[in-house]
Amino acid sequence: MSAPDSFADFVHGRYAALVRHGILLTGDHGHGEDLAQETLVKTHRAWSRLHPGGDPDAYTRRVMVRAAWRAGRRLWHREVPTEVLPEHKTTDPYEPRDTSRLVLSALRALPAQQRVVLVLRYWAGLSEQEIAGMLGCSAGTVKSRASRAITALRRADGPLAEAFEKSSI
Amino acid sequence: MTERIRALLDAAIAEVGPRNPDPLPDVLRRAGARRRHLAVAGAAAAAAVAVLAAGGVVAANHGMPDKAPASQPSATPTGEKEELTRVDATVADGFVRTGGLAVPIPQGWQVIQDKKLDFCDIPAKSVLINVMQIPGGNCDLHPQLAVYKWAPTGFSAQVSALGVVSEVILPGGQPVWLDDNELDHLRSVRKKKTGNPFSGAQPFLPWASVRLSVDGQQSQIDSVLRGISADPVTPARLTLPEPSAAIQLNLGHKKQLTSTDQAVIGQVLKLLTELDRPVRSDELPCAGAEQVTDTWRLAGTEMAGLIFTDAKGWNASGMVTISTGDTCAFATSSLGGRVHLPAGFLARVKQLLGGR
Repeated sequence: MSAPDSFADFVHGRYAALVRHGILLTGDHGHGEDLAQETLVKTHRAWSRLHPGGDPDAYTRRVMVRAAWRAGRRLWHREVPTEVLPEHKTTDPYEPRDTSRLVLSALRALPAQQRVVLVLRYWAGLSEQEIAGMLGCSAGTVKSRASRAITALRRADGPLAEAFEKSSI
Repeated sequence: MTERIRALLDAAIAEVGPRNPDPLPDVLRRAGARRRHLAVAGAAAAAAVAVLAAGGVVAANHGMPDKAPASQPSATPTGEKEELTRVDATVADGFVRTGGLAVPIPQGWQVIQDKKLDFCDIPAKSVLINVMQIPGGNCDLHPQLAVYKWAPTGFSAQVSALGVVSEVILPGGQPVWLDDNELDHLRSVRKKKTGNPFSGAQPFLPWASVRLSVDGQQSQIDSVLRGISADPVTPARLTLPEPSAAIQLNLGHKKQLTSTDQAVIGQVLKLLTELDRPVRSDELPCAGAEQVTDTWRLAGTEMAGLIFTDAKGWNASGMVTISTGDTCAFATSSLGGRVHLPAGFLARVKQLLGGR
C-alpha cells in the first residue's frame, strides 16, 4: 500500500508530537506509540477529506482522545500497562528521567477516563465544555473526573506527593 | 495548581520520543490489514443483522410498567433513529413522567423540550427533554437536569460501558443502576459531609429506558435524586431476550468472559429461566446495606453484568445483573423482573463460560 506524499509528510512531521500526546493519554510509552499509529491508520483512511482544506492534526488528536476515553469504558483491553515499570537497564537514548518516570507511573495508576480528562484539562488547556463536547459526556462528568484525578495525584502515599508538597499547592 | 500540573505533564514527555524513527511503513501495513479485516467483518455484520431482524423479545412482560423498556434494536436503524433516542415523557404537576418513573422538577426550574441549543444558550436551572446540546462556548457550568433515552439494547459498547453495576431499588421496585465511577463519586461526596460543591450524577434506570444527568450544587442533586419515585411494579421472574449469538459476562475491571457457543448460551438462559423466586417489594435491600445518598441504599454492589449480544458483540438485546456474593443475592433483568439467587449461582454461570 502506498500513501500520498502529503500524508507521508504529515506523519513524518507530526509523529513525535502525536506519540507524546499518546504517552500522556495512556501513561505508557509503548501504548502511547501504539495509539498514535492506530489513529494514523484512521487518518490515512480519511485523508482525502482532510487534505487539503482540513485539519489532519486536530482530527488525529481528537480520534486519539476518544480512543483513550473509550478504552476506559471497555472491559476487554487486549493488554494493560503495569502499575510499576519493570526494573531494567537500558541504553535507550529516549529513556525518561526520574520525574518523567514518576509522572507516567502516577498517570498509569489513574482510571483511563480520569487520565484523559486530566491531560485535556491541564496539559491541552481545554475548557470543561470543550472536553465534554469532544468526549460526548456532560460537563459535570468532566468536572468530577478532573477533580478525582487531582485528588488521586495529591494522595499522600502517591508517587507525586513529594512534588506537590514542594510546590505548596 | 494548573501550572504545576502542566509542568509535571510537560516534564513527563520532555525527553521521550518515538521508538520507531520511520512509522510510515507500519501505519500503511496496519491500514492494509484493517481494510481486509473490515471487508470480512462487513459480510459477517450483514448476516448478524439479518438474524436480529428475524428475532425479537419472546418472553412475557411480567408486571412491567405500562411504558416498558425499549423494543428490540431495529434492523434498519436509520428509519427508527429518532425513536431510539427520543424520550417519551410528559410534564405535569412538577414532575417529568416517563416509563413509570416520576422525576421531580426542582422549584423554579424551567422545562425545555424538543430543541437544539448551544450549551451556553441553555439557561441555568433547566430541565431538558429531547434537547440536543451543542457543546463548546465559553460560559460557566450551570445547574441542569437532562433526561436521556437509555436502554441496554442496541450498541453493546454502550451497555458494556456500564461494567459492573450497583443497584438501588426505588420504592415500588424499579432499579437504578450505577456504574463504578458513579458509585465512587457518590461515596466520595457522602464522605465529605461538608460544603456544597458543584457536582454531577448520572444514574441509569433501565426499566424506564432513561438515563438522568443532573449537574448542580450537591444539594440540588440530592434534592432531585431524593424526589425520584416510580409506579409500583409487580414482582416477577426475569424477562429474558431470545437466545443470542453471544453473551458477555462482565465481572469487573478488565475481567470479562464471553461465549458464542449456542449450547453454553442455552444453558445459561435455562439457568436464568429456572429462577422462580421473585423478589418481593419489601425484601431488599438487606440489613446493613450501604447508604449512598440521603435516601438511596445499595441493594446490590458491583453486580456482574450478563449481556446478550450478536456474534460480533456489536448489538445487545438485553442485560441481566447478577450479585457477586451469596448473601442476599439477586438478579435483575433490564427487560423486567428480579429474582432471588441460590448460593453459587454466579459461579455456575462463570463455569459454563469457561471461567473459574
